[in-house]
Amino acid sequence: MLGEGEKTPKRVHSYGFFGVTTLHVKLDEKQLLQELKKGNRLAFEHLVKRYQHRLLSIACGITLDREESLEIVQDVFMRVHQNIHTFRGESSLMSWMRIITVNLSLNWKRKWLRRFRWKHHDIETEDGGILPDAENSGEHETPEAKYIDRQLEQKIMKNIALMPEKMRTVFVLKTVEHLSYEEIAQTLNIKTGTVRSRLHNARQLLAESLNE
Amino acid sequence: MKETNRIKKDSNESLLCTDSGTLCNQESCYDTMTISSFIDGEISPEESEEVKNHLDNCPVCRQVVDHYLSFEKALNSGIASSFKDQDVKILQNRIMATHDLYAKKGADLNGIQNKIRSKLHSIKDFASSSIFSLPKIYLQIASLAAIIILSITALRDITDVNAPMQSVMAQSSPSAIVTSVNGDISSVIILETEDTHHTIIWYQEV
Amino acid sequence: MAIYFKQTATFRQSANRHKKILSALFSMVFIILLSVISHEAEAAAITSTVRVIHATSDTPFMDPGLKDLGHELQSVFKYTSYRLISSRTLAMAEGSTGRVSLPGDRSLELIPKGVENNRIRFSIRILKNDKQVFTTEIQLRNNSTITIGGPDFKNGYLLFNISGKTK
Repeated sequence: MLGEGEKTPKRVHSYGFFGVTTLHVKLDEKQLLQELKKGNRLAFEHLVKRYQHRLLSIACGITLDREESLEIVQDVFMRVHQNIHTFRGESSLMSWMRIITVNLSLNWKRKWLRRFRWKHHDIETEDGGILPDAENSGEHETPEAKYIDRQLEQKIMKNIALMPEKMRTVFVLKTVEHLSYEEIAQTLNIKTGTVRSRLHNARQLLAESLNE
Repeated sequence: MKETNRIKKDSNESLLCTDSGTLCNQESCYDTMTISSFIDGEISPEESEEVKNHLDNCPVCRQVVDHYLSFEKALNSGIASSFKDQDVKILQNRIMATHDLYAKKGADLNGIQNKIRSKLHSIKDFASSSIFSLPKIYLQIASLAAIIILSITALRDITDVNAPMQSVMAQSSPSAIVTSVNGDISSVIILETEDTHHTIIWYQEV
Repeated sequence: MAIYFKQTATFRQSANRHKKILSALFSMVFIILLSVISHEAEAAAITSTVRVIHATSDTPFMDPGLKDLGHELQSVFKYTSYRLISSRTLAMAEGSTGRVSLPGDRSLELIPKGVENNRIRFSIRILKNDKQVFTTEIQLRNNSTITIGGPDFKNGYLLFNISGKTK
């Protein structure tokens, strides 16, 4: 599980936690890009189906706001649609969309709007965040184990929410996207050493909070 | 194997010295930075093999690894539990609807997005982009007209897209009229509450 | 003679009466002037209460000292806990500076600059470590309040509610 000196394998298809599997269409990235540039609706729909879960997880991990994440991902796809002709394909579509997602999630205007009650949030936890709902998951565990797990999870999530945003962003890209340090560094335009130390600091911060 | 990453045995130390980021009381324990890099597969294969062997015999380091892995599980689970399949489906429909409108008209994307989404969002975009823009900006808003007061009432109404925009603006005067805002701030927003037209200024320090 | 004396007496009486009337008039004018001056002096006196509030996402709580404001804050912000850290009332003359200490090495300066159309013109400055970080000019409706917020403080944010009152 921890690898034998290798980089952690990218779990590109591991979006099982949404309970939704990806659409298996035999369309490689190059073909998809060509079709997108032609304005093929099906290709765009395929793109949305293929990547929306991952983008949603990234946005949600950084913003910790459900409604905001949904809006961010919608924005990301609209930007992709609008700018697909300028995309040269030097990086993968996902890398490009990931950068847009991170940038929108860290956008100062959006950060601001998250502080205000602009609309009603029907589904949210007591403090407006995305803390896990104890009734929502862990179906196959015993009730007791489930309870302990949820308590721990809630505590961890609370402390993730308290992390500085820059630290959380690195932590999210590692945890949700399983990117290498190099890939995280490229996405955020920072040094790999910074990625290494931010990840370590994030984990230490959480470890310390568990001992409190 | 970098010897500098190893912690020398000191039987008088406590088991886990998290403050210093090191592990104690176990011969040849690894510092938490190395363990963090190991989990991420960001150390050499040789070193990784040694860490693995060490983990087989060291409960302290194993506990650190277990903790680190539990954080990943918690975050992924927390994110997963905040969305239902239906949310994703709705999102997909919203994206495709916006796409179709854009594709059909081939016109200004923002205009279409405003129609598709809601009055809420168009106001949000307008408010945040037109009042205050760049970070570390020195804001000097001399004219009253430049200050935009938002009514939360209208912002809440996300369904009635065609409602007259006049309702967005307050019917009676705000508790305070803001004539200028300056400072070493990265952004500022001015709001007015629905009920008593109470004025709120929110600024962000640089 | 008698008539003369009578006339003189009448004249003296009349002169005395005039003096009395004049002095009464002067006193009245004096009193009126005084009252006008004192009224103007009163008009320049402005009282302001600065309430410092700590808004966080902790366990839901609304400080009893924020009864009048709680609903307004909750209608705008997503925070769940609002605690009143301090409250201070200042009486200021026009042009004078009122100063309130804030948490986190900050302070707030309030300068009333005049009253027009039932609104008090205020210049408000927020300083951090004696360095000015935020200033605003506002026209606050008499007997109303404004809330200024934004600085980070102890896992939350500081809000300053400022009232203005003039006669």
